[in-house]
Amino acid sequence: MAARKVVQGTLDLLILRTLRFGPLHGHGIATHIQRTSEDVLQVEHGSLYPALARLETAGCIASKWEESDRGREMRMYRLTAKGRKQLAVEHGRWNELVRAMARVLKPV
Amino acid sequence: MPTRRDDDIAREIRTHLELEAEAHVAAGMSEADARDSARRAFGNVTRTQEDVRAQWTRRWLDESVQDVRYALRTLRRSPAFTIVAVLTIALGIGANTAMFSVVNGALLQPLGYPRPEQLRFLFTDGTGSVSPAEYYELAEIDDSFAVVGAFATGEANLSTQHQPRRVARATVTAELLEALAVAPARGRWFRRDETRGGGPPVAMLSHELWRSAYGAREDVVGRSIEVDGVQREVVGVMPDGFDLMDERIELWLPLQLEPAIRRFRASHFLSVLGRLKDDVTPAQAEVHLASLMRSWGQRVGATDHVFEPGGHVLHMAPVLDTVVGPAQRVFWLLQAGVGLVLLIACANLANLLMVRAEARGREVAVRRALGAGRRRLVAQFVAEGVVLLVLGAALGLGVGWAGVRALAAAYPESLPRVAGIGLDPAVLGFTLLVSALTGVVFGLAPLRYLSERGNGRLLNDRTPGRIAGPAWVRRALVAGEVGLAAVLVVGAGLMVRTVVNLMHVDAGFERSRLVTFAVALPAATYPTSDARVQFYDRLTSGLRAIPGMDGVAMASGLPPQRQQNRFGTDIEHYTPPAGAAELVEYYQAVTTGYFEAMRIPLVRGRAFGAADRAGAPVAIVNEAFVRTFWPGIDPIGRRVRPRFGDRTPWVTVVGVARDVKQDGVDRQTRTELYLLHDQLPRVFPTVPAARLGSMLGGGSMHVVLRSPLPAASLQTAIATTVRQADPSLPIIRLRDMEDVFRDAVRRPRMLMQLLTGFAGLALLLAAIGTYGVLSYMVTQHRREIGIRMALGAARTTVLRGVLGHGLKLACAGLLVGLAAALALTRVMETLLFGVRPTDPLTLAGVAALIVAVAAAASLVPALRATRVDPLVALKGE
Repeated sequence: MAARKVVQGTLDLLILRTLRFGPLHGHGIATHIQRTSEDVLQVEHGSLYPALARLETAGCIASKWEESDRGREMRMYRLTAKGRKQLAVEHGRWNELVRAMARVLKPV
Repeated sequence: MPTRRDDDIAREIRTHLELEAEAHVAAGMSEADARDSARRAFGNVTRTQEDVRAQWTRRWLDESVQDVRYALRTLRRSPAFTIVAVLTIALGIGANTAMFSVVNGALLQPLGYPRPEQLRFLFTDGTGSVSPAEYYELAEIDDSFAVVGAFATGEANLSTQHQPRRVARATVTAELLEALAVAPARGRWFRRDETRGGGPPVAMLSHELWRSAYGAREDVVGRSIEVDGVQREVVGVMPDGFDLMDERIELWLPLQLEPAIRRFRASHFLSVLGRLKDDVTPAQAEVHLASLMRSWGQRVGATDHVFEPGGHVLHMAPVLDTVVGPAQRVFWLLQAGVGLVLLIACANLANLLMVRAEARGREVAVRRALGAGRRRLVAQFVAEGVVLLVLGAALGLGVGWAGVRALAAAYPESLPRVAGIGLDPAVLGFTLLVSALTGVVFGLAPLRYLSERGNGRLLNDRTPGRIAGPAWVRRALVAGEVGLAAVLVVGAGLMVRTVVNLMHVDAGFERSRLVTFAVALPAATYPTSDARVQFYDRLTSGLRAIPGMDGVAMASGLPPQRQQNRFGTDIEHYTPPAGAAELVEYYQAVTTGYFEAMRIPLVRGRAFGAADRAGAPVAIVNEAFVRTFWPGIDPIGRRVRPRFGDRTPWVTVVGVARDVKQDGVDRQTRTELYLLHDQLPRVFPTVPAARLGSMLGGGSMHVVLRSPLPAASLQTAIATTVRQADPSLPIIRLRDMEDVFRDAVRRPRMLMQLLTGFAGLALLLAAIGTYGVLSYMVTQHRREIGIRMALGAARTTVLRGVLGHGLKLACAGLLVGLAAALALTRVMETLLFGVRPTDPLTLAGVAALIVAVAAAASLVPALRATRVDPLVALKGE
C-alpha cells in the first residue's frame, strides 16, 4: 500500500493518542506514528511542530526540557487532563466519521 | 511562559534532525546522506519555525487583549480610583514634560551653527563690550581664531508700506557672518569690502521679517528698503530660525566704521565673537589670550587704555553659555521643582495601588482557590497597571503639550531660544522613560505581596490588611510627600518675598502716574544737532499741550534698567588709585525739566534750567559720583571733562541728584553724569551729530510724561502729537512706568509664579495622600473605633484621635522637609533679593500653611470616624 500523507485534522488525534502512553519528544512522536501504522502514515516532520504548538497553546499538552539518559536535552511532551478529555472527544468524532463513511461505501 | 523563544524552537528542531540522522546512520547510511535524508523528511525548516512562532505569538496576543479588556472593565467599576490614579500620573508626567521641553529647547539643544563648540564670545569686565580699536587689534594679533567678527545690536526704523516699524537689528562685520557659518536662505552674505568705512548701503533680512513685511516674495533680493531714512539694497535673506545671541534679530546691517573711529579706544560698544581654528582647543586659546594681554600694549603700539592682566581684561566664554547663561540656574531649579512634584505623585500612586491590591486580595484568593494560575493573575494585574500608565501618560503628554504652549505664551520674553522649544523626540523619550520607571517601581511593588501570601490566610483573615503592605510604608510615603511639598512651598515663599521686595525698591524717582515711550531720529533725516533739538522742542511742546500733562522731559537712558555707557572722564581734584581707570559708569543726556518730571530730588545745587541751553557747559552728578570721587568735598563748582577726543571742554557741576537705579532694581547705583541735551554738540565737538545719539543711548531718546492718565488713555493724543512732529517715526514701547518695573523683574516673577504653581500642586497632592491614608486607616480600624465608642468614648475624642494622627504625620514630614529646605535653598541664593535662603519668617509661614492643609485633609476622615455606628462595626463584615 502506498504511504499516504496524513490529513491535517487527524494529526492532532494521532499526537494525543501517542502521548496517552507516556511523555515523548517530538522526534519520538513522529517515529511512533510511522512505526505503529507500519509506514502507512508518513507524518511530514515539519508539520508536526506547529501541531504540537497548537495543542500546547490550547492546553491539551504540556512540555518541559528534560535530559535524556544519554545526556541529550530534549523537550518532552505529555498529555494534560484537558488533553485526555480532548482525546476522547476527537476519538469519538473519528469513529463517527468512519461509521458514516462505511455506511456510504457499503456495497449494495 | 506565555511565549516561546526563537532559539528554543530552533534547538528543538535541531535535536529532531540529529535524532533522525542518527537513525539513518544506524540503518547503514553515510553521515552526509543521513543528514540530507533527515532534512528532506523534515520539509521546510524555516517555514516550520515561523509557523510555531506564529502559534505562540497568537496565544500571547489573545491573552494580552483579554487582559486589557478585563483591566478596562475592572477599572471602570471603580471610577474614583481610576480617575484619581490617571490624573495623578498625568499631572506628574505632564508638568515634567512641559518643563523639560523648555529646559531641552533652551539649555540643552546646541545652537544652530555648525560646530558651535568652536564659537567663543569675547568680552571685557563691566559692559562686556570692546572698542573698535580693541576689536581690530584682536583680529590682527590673536591667531587662535580662524575668523573674528564684531557686532552691535539695537533697533532701527523700517519704513514699510503701512506704518513705520521698529525692528531689532544687528550691525555686523562680514567676518561675523563667516564665523557663524550659516548659509543664507536667499542671496548672499555681506562681503568684507562692504563692512568697512565708506561701504555701500546694503542690508539682510531675517526669515521672519521677509515673511511678515515682504510677503516672502522671491524678488526681495535686490529690492530697496528704507532703514532709518536711508535707502538700502537687500542682498540676502537669513534662513528660518537664524538668530544672534537670542536677540531675535530681524534686520542685519553692515558695520562700517570709519578709520577715525579706530582711534577711540575708550568707546566700548562692540560685541565680539570668533570661531577657533580647527586645530586649536579652547584651553589653548585661553592660554594664548592671557599671554597676549601681558604684552598687548607693546604689540599694538598703544600706551593708554590697553588690555592688561589685573586691569582692563579680555575674557573668553562659549557662546551657548553667554546666550542662556543667566537663565540656566532658573530653569534647572524649575525642573528640580517639578521633579519633586512627580515624586509626590508617585508616592500617591504607590499608596493607591497598594490599597487597591489589598481590596482585591479576597477576590484573588478565591480565584486562586478555583484554580487560576499565578502567572495569569500576575499578568492581569500587570495589564491593569499598564492600562493605567498608558492612559495617564497619554493624558500627561497632552497636559505637557498644553503646558509648553501656555509657558511660551505667558512668558515670551523670559524663555531663551523660545523658537526651539517644543515636544521633540528627546522630550518624548524622557516622558516615556519617566512613565516606565514610575510604573515599574510603584506599579509592580504591590504585586510582590500578592504572590507571596498563601491562600489560606487570605480566606480566613477577617482584617486583611496584610496585602497592602505594612502600615509604616504608607505612613512614611505620606510623611515624605509632606516633606517634599514643604521644600517646594519654602522655595515659592522665598520667591514671593523676593518679588515683593523687588517691586517695592525705591528706584530714586516717583514711578506712579508716569508714562514713557521712545523715539529714534534717523541720521539721514536729522543730520545736524540743530535739527534734532528743534524736533525735540516741537515734540515736547506738543506733548505739554495735552490736557492734564504735569511735566514732559526726555532722556537718553530710561531707568531702572539702562544700557551702560561708561566713559573715561577727567575729574578735577581726584587722583585715581594705582591701576584703576578714571571712569564714570553712566552718562545721561536729558532735556530741561527732567528732574522735575521724574520727581528726582536734587540734594545739592540746582537742576538744569532754560538759561543753560545756550550757556556754558554744565553737568549734574549723582550721589554715588560724589561718594566715589569727591567724598567730603563740596562738588558744586568743580569740573569734569569727558575723555572723548581733544577739544572737549571742562564742564562745571551745578547740582547733585539723588541716586537713581540704572542696572535693574536689585543692583547698586553707580556713578552717573547728567548732561544737558542741548549742550551736547559743545561738550563733544569732534563727534558727528549722528553718532552722538548712539553713543549715549542706543540711538533713541526716551520721553517721560507725568500725567494722571494711564498710557492707554493717552495713546491717541501722543500718536497725534508725534505724527504732527514727524509722521515717519514709530512710537516705541508706549507704556506706564509701572509696567517698565514689572518688565524689569520678569524673570524673578516667572520663577515665582511657576514655583508657586508647583508648590500648590504639591500641596494638593500631599493633601490627597494624607486624606487617602487616613481614610484607609479609619476603614481598617472600624471595629476598634466601634468598640471604643461602645465603651463610652465621646465622638470628639475619636475625632481628635484621627486628626491627631494626621497632624503627627504632617509634622514628621514637615520637620524633615524644613531641614531639607534649609540645606537646599542655598542654591537659590543668587536669585533672591532682600531675603536670606534661611529666612525664619518664611519657614514659620510655611509650617503654619502645611499644618493647616494637613488639618483640613484629615478632617473628612476624622468626621467619618465619628459617624461609625458601634453596633454595625461590632457585628463585623
